[in-house]
Amino acid sequence: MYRLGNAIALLLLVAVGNVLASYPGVGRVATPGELAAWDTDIGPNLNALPVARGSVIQGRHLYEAHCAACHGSDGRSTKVFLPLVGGITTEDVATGRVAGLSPPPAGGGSTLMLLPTLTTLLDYTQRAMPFGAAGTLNVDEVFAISAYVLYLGGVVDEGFVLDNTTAVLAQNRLPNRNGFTNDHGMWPGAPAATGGLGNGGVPDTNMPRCMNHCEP
Amino acid sequence: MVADRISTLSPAPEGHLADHDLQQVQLSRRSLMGLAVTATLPLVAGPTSAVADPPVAEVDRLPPAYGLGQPVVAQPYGQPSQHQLGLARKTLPGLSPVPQNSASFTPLQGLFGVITPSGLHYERHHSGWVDPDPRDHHLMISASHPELIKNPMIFSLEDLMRLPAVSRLHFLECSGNTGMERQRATAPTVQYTHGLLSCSEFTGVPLRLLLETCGVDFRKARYILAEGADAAALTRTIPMELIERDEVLVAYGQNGEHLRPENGFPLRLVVPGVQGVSWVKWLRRIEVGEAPYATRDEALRYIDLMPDGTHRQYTSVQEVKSVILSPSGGQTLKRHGFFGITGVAWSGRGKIKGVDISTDGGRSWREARLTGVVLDKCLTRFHADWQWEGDEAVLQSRAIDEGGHVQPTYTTLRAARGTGSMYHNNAIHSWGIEQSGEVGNVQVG
Repeated sequence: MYRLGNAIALLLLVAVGNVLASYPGVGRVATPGELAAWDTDIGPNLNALPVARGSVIQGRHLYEAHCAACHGSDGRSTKVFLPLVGGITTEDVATGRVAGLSPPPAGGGSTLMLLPTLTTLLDYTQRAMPFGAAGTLNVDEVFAISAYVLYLGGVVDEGFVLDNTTAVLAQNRLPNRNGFTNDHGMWPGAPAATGGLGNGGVPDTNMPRCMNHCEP
Repeated sequence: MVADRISTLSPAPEGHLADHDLQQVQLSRRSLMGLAVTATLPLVAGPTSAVADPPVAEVDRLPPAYGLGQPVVAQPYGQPSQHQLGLARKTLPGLSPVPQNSASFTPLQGLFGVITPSGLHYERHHSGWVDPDPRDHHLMISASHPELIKNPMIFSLEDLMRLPAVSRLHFLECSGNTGMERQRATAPTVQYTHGLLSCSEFTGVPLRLLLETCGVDFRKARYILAEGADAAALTRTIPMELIERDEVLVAYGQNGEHLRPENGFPLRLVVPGVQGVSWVKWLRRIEVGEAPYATRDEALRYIDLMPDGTHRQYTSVQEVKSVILSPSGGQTLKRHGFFGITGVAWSGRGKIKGVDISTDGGRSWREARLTGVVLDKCLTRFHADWQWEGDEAVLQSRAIDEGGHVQPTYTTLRAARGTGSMYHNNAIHSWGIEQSGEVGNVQVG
């Protein structure tokens, strides 16, 4: 039996190319507590936001305390980072396309000129802000500060309260919400035609391999 | 000084990018070889005597041997020769007001073959680099929804090192590499025009193996979110297709040793062919999900502005590209006669099939030799022989990958994408040679 068992084990190894299907004793299952503590991203689904609430009014004080030193009280400072707000019009809010991006703005556009998705602002503020003290804001504070930044940019009014039900209202007023495209050849995964992104890897700069009398 | 006596090519002056020196770099629009170019040629008043043959010092007696040298382990971790200390990473003055959110450039002009010494690998950090105790660093595999995974798991570095490993050579390029050149010739040397580029052997575990161990539902989970443990907690979306093809690695090794802290010790993601920002350093978590994540670094940065004001999102592949490393900007050809032209080529879409060389600004081309390994999504070294008779010249290289994609001219690139984006500039690069032998950065067109 012993020998037969060895033979079967050997056959199994050969059958799967000497790579085992599982690796007992390597790694461990994460506990629910660990998952909750580590899983801090705010995903792209507006219907699956964390339960949180923050008003423009609350955000004003938090912003002054945690953000204004770098970004300026008006959100337009360029001293440390690119500006958070500026360069958008009420027309942009209506159309979802920022006219000021063509021709390209000198020095790059403000955050609100670019931002296509509200969850990006919430997620990044939660994970990486304030610069040098990331992770010190609770989720309600993240929502309040985000609401205030939207207010500074003229996207929402002073009475706005951002929570998981009003987030869609703010999303639908983002000035550049319609300003993005995935129609390009630089996504290495499945194309849009089969549920992925992009055109399947077709470049937009086709060149002949000219050897003589070429156009420089 | 020894190098000066024997060389026929003087290197670009190291440390020449102090603020003071940058002011010496002048941009001009002029004609070179009858081509209209923009140029960052060095300030010189007329031709120098650099190309006259210097007197030869006759060596008619065998010099004494070097004598008794240093003992073993005088340097427990060996260092470059003291005569090569100028070859170092450098940043650009004024690149960023925050030095933790900045970049340093690899001195490509002084490297051979395709491997970048780990200590010279370019840096791009979003919130500074750290050197964490590996006993406190773990990798979690989780899911955006419990249905997508049977067993979310946590792995230590030791766990990962027990698993079947692979080692592969791949290039790593920041999508902002050559970004400053998008509108016109700007930087004086190849370290600054192309130095956000490196190439290493990476060792690690295929991510597919880890996801299979966790019981990921590959039918539904078509994307992953890779998250770093740096202060930026940098995150990027990566398509599951790359993982299913066994291309993506959770790496702990680089060029035979553990990753350097500046390169993400103890764990980083390796995503061959894809821009550097996706190779998440200090990797701490991978979440599988059903949709792309639109994170900050794929919705506010690393997006490609088009002439109509739209942005291309999720542009990830680094397309076919090459550059001549010698002769290159800031160097001087000190004599007439034979010179080897050498450089590197690469493509995020596969292997390099060929490299062509032009010495007349792109009007005529000939094939260069590929001299060394030719691997998938890896730097490929090329050489071409060249005789310089002292005339003006414009040197260019043009790479072709196995898919037949040809590296574009600036004219073609700008026709397709304009000049508004600083990302994904893979255009043919030009070095102008003056009659004086000085080499400068020029753009044809």
